[in-house]
Amino acid sequence: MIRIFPRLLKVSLWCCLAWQPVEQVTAQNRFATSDNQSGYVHWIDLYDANNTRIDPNQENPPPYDPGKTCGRCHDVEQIAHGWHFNALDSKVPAGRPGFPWVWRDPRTGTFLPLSYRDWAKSWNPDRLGMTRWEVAAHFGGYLPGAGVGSGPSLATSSMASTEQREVADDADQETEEQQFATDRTAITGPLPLDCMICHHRPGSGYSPFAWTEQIESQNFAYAPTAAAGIGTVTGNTSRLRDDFDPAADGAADRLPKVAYDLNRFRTDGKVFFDLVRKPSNDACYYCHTNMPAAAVGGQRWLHDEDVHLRAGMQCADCHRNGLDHHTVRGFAGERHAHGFSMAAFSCQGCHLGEVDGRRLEASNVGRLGAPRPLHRGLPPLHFEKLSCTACHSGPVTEQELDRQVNSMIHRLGEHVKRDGDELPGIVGGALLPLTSSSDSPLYPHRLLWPSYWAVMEKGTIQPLHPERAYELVRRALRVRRDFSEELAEVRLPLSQRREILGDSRAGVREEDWTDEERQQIRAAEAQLRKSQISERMVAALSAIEEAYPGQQAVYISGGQGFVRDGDTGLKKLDREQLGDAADPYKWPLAHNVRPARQALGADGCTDCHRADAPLFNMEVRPIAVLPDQQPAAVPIHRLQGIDRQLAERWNRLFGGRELFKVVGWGMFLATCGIFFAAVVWNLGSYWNRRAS
Amino acid sequence: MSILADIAIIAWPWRTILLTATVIVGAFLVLHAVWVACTPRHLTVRERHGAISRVAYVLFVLVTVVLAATAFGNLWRGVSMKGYALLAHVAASGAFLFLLLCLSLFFLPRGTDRTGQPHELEHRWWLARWSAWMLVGSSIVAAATMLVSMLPLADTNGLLLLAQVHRVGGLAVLVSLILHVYAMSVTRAGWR
Repeated sequence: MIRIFPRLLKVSLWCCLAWQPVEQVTAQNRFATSDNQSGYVHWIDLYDANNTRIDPNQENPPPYDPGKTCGRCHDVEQIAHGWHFNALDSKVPAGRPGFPWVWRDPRTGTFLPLSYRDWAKSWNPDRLGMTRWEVAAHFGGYLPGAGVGSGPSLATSSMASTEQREVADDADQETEEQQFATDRTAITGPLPLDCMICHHRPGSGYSPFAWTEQIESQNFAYAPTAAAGIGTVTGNTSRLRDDFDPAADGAADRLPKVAYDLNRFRTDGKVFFDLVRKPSNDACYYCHTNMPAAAVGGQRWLHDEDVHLRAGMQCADCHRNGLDHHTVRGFAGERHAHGFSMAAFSCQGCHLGEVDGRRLEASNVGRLGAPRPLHRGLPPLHFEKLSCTACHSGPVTEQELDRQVNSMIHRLGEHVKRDGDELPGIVGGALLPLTSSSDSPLYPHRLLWPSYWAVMEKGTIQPLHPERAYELVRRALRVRRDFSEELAEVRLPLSQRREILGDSRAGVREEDWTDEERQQIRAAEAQLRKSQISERMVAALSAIEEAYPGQQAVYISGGQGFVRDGDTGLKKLDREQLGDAADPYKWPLAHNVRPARQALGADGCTDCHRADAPLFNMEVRPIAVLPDQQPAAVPIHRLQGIDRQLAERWNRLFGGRELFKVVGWGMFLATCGIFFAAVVWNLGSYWNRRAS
Repeated sequence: MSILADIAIIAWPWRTILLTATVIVGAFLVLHAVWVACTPRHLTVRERHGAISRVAYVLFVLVTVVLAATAFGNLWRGVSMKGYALLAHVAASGAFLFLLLCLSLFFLPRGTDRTGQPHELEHRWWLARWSAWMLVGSSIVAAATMLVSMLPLADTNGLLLLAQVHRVGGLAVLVSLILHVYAMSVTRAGWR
């Protein structure tokens, strides 16, 4: 009877927990579904944003709206609250830090990691005075739409700005940030949700980069049509002035135009949408490509894909979701927004069938044929000190951290020449604890050092809105496109060249210089560069200080902060003043997973436990944006919170590990021999006494 | 293996396990000490072990205390062993293996047919004898689990199981040692 109570309690608790998901699952079922594993062939009518069926032959037809078109059979409202759309929803657990949205402004050397989620060392765009529209326009090209750019989000943002403006007007002042915050919702409309960006079949003609281009042109409503390739879009909303009124007479002529490809329409007006239920890897890769910088420029063939993908799996096999689109992120301890257990989709859950000492149900173990890892001879303590990914994922741990490029941050997909040194610099593979707790296992992390213009008031560094910073520093910096490149660009005047090379050699072409001459010119250029950078930076910082009286202007780059030193020089802020303002944004990586034979430790204990092992000895060198900046390298053990001396003692201890094993086993076997001899002896004595 | 897993995978948190063990062992010792003090036997005891044996025993006790403090101190706090505690644990484990060999050589009861001699009276008392057997037996289990995990034999689940058994074995070593020290103290006082 007593045994029944815990079970009853468990069942009651389960019922309580399960109640909510069941209700939501029921809610999802208000739409009819085909439920055939072969899928549904989508010959469908197109609808515009006003829910009117589109006639492609009409004059000036509107773009199709996926929300209205797909929403006839699918619960778009529910879908639009999934992980890729709900960054603004404070009720959704933020989970462990993920890829940030990095605001890029190469003109001012601004690369600022942003997130609406509560991820350490990222900035919330709302708090920087950015409007939701600005964020949607800046990042929407690599997002599936809706979310921050959805109607309700933009409306909230607009209302907040209006209220702030009214308050400011009442106080007879307008904050500086508000002057530069842009909200063109009235012109562009909301950012539509484009189902096809994830669900298109590879090779169907859908182009995610066409989506990106349209968002950059601020052609929000037209992006799904252009990306799907069912029509061509001409026009560029970004060229319309801020006070453009789309409802005004003749305004329609200045808006983008759609010309549908009539060959794509059947005689009954329906269009074939070649889509898949489970997003293909390529669809995920469009926004989630992370690869070594060394792989760009034709070197990709030297690098391998994730072992799971090579084995024939798809991203969505593990990163799956229901109709609610709460995509599983797959890390240990993840909580599903609707309470479903996601333990089976973590590395441990899938491969071990056991999470935190709890066995999973048989139906959740070894899914998709996940092999059980062996780890033979590995002291089990390692499972507490290291995450699975520490040894198995990311670049192979070496003395130098691997520089990486990312699709969203480095605009991969665009056809341009790259050399892998594109800013912002991201490095990957640093084994760091997930939290500041000394008990956190080590995870491989990516790191990105922010760079931005800021003001310091009462010891706190507050980033400026990037557009505001641009307006303030552009004259002083004299940069058109690229801060790092153009600030470092110097050309010695002829008079100086004459001074260095003499009159007869000053006019000689560079190719004809001697080595000594080249060296002299380079030295003079370096000197000029140094004074140019210093002069322009001081002028830029002064311009900010003029606009913010009583506050000190700061430029953050490569883990350091720079302020004006008088009227001519730059100086670095000391660590105390800088605080954590220049600390890198770091987030754990999980892919690519390497084969077991490339795992850290595959060659034995000394992969990590030796004097020069990269795990505890590598140096993390911040990547700076300011030209000529030489950021100091940080020893990784300091970031790991590991005592260097302790690590060295461990290494010394491991020098004699093999001998310890032999001697230890020898002593142990001798002890066992004595023990069993004593047992036999005593039992013999006992039987002898009984017999006598 | 699955039977072993069922025994070793304990659903209780380690703090509860340690607390329970402390209460049980403490209560037993207090009650037993009271009973022994009330019924002393006043036996004559002669020293059987030489200086080396006694030093080995004292060192074994010290090393076991270091191992227990580093392991159970962290388990009590609900964190994994790390830093100097882990280093001390690993370093002490080598000494433990050596001293275990000495202890089994010098102290294991060599038979019950020689108890007529007055200097072996301590071996007549059941607690002294059985705690010695328990001490060596549990030490063998605790040592074996770690030594086996160093060899390429067990897979991941096996390794995790071995780690659990190691903890349980370690607790058994500590309990046995406490009982043995107590028993030795009582017999050396000549009360049993």
